Amino acid sequence: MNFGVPLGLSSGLCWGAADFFGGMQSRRLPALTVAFWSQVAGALGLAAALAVSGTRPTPAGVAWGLVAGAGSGCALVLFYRGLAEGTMSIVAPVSACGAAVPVAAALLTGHRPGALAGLGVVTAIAGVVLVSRPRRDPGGPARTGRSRRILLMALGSALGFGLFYVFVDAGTTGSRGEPLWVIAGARASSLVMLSTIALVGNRSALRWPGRRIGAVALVGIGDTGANLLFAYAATTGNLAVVGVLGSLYPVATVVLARWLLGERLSGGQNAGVALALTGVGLLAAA
Amino acid sequence: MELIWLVLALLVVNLAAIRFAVDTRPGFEHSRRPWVRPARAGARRSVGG
Repeated sequence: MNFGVPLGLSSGLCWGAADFFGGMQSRRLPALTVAFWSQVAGALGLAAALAVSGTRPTPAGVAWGLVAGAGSGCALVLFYRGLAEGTMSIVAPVSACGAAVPVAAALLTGHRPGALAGLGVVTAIAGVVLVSRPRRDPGGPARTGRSRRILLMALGSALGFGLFYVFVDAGTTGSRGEPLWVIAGARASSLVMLSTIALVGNRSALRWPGRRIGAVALVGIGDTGANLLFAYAATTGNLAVVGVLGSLYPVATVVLARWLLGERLSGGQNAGVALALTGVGLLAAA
Repeated sequence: MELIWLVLALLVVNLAAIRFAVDTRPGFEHSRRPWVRPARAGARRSVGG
């Protein structure tokens, strides 16, 4: 029996749920605190997976992982902060549009992306434009400025996650590094980046989350679990199918936000979310 | 050359994170708890951001 499809679907669900609960925790704690301690918990889970797998690291693979983590840690903070402050049903799909960054990187290196990738980029951009259109809001200019700030955070996280894909691909495909070790390198450098941001800005942001540590740790373990599920699904199933299923993670976040938070969007925003998700799916399939 | 663009993009994400992440207030969009805007502490209470 081929477990690729259920495992790929599980990875998407796991990522989406971890993002939703990461955003929820960031409504009660600073986003930097949630990102840091969830990454610590995820790193412990990853260390266990590395011990079980018994694989050996390659220096080039780990080096690319370290570069990838410099973007992903920052992207995670921006993402959690955006989820905490804004409408999750908008922030999650916009952030997932980072899948367009590898297409841009391919163009930079002189490669011509396929028609499906081009269509995915256009669809995702159309979706982002639709969801970012200002609503007639009683909150006035102050609320419009806040919405713009949240959209910038979502786009910043999309850029960071997109760069993560580019550098992880360079580590695994380009340098033939063991994926687990590339991710381990990324996790290490993202923790260093988050600590540095806290030292530069506000040291109290890394304080112990107290009784919320269980929930925060579950976010990190859920994220790492999704990574491992995806990696295993990719080795057992069709990568194109598994990639699309895994990329649908914002759907889980949107469904949870509607179900548990009662988020409702305007008709145009709903269309934008649908377009953005379609664009992400097309990019994953390309 | 392309590596320069990727590094510049990475720098943009890092700076954005520094700009936004040092703000340690949790998000209050969906919270009903009142909170004091630090810059205006003592001036007035603000609810919901």
